[in-house]
Parts: sequence; structure tokens; C-alpha cells
Amino acid sequence: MTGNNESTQLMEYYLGRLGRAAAKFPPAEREEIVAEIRSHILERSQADGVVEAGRVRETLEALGTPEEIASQYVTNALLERAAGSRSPWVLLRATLHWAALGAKGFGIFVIAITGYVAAGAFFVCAVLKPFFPENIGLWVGPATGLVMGYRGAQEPPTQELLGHWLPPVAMVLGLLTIMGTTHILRALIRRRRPTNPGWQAR
Amino acid sequence: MNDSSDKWEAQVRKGSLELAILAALWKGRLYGLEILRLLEDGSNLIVAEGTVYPLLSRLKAEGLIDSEWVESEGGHPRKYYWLTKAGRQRAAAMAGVWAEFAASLAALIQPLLSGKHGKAL
Repeated sequence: MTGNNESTQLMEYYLGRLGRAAAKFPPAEREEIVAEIRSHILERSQADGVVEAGRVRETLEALGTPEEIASQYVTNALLERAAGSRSPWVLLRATLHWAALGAKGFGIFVIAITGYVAAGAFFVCAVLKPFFPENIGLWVGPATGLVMGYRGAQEPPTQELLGHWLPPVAMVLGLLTIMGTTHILRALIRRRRPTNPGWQAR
Repeated sequence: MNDSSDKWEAQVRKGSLELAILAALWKGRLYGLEILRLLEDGSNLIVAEGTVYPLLSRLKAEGLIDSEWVESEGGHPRKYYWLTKAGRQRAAAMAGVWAEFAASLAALIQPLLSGKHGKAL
């Protein structure tokens, strides 16, 4: 098979972008991804053994951008890992990539952020309580309802409920929030990729 | 077609692509471009051709298909795919769910297609 310089350049430029966009993968996997797309481009673009620049251009256009393709590979790999992981970091990264692909992924990313930030806030309260005993607490007041966090001296009158009990209670609440968020995310990620035998069970 | 029905159509295509790929492999092993051509002949499921390859890689990671590189006369190797046992089971189960779903939806939308106008509320 022969191709002129222009068609080779077009293809190699595209594959170079694909390789860079897939840089997170181990070399062997990355090469396999690039090799498969290269095989697609060569076969799709040739007529009677000749690869023409015009056909290469059409083929590349039909493929979509290399960054889009790479991002789908990356998202699949991250969700694969996340479905078996309990690490907030892995789950957050996987949902962040998912978020870039559509509204559903974005909604799930918002759940992830909200859950983990709330858990972080509980831990911060627990740690800071000994240093700011007058300002950190679980406050209840007519204007604010029930709030855990920091309260300045000049703010409307509220009452603190927990006292010394705040650090352990906030720790437990933080842990429960992390566990709950992780549980929900894992369930949502697994639902996207039904690897369980639920399909056969129907 | 307006924007949101376009979006809906894209979602439907995307959702059915997995079943379409498994179905394409039902009769035997194929390489990526052959799968694509089957899907393009039989349907207009494909939006961007590049989406098929990541999806194939995911189906392989799930153990539903397997693959192998084979040298071709054309001079460049091709990556062939085939259904595993789990893949055949999954494809059959998905086809059953789909057929049942499509039949009940078809009955439901029949009045919309027969051209009679419903009452606007």
C-alpha cells in the first residue's frame, strides 16, 4: 500500500495527538489504542491500495477528535478502577472525567463534591473545637436553625448543644458522610456498567 | 428537530450501541471497521466513529468480548473481536429485554404514528 506525504502527515499528526491525549495509560496500552486507530484510518482511507489525502481527511472527521476518543478510554479506565475502589480520591477523579462527558456525569460529580466537602467540614470542626471552644459548635437558634460550624461573637444569639462532645460527634458524622457518599457513588458507577449478573437474572 | 430532541436521539443511540456491537459479533469474529460497517448499514446508530473503539475496549475489560491482532494482506494488522461465553449470555439477555421494551413502547406510540391528532390540553 502506498500513500503520499500529505496523507501520511495528516494521519501521523492525528495519531500523535491521540498518543499525547492518552499519555496516562501505560505505554503498551497506549500503543495498542494508537495501533487500532491507525489500522482503522489506513483501511478506511484506501481505495485500490492507494491512500489519498482527501479520504484521510474524511476518515479523521468521521472519527471525531483524538482528544474525544482518548477521553472515552480514560473515563472507562477510571470508572473501571472506581467501581472496585473505596478511595474518595479515585472516586472523585473518575466522576470528574465522567462529568466532562455529559449532564448525568456532571450531576454525579456534584454529589461527590458535596458529600466529600461536607465530610471535610465535619472533620475541620472536630479538629478546631479545642482551639476555638467559644466559636466552633453545633448551634441552634431561631434565625439559623441547626448549624454546625464557626460562629462569630457578634452574630444573632444561638445556643451551643454539644460542648466537649463536639469533636467525637463531628468525627463520627464526617465518617458516616464519607461512607455514605462513597456507597452512593459506587452504586451509581456500577449501575452505569452492569457487570453484575443482574442482566441474566431478569 | 429541535435541540432537546436531538439530544434525546443521541442518548438513545448511545444507549443501544453496546447491544448493537454485541449483536454484530453474534455470527462470528470481526475487526473494528467491519463492526462499524455493519452498524452503519443496518442502522444510523453511529454518531462519531471513534466512539466504537473505546466501547470495544470496555466490553473487553468486562469480559464480554476478546480480541486478537491478525496480519492482513493489506499490509497492516487488524484487531479482531469475538464474543466470549459471558458475552453471548449477556447479548441474549439484553436482546430479550430490548425486544420486550420495544414491543410495549411500540404499542404505546401507535396512536402518535397513525396520524390522528390528540386533544391538546
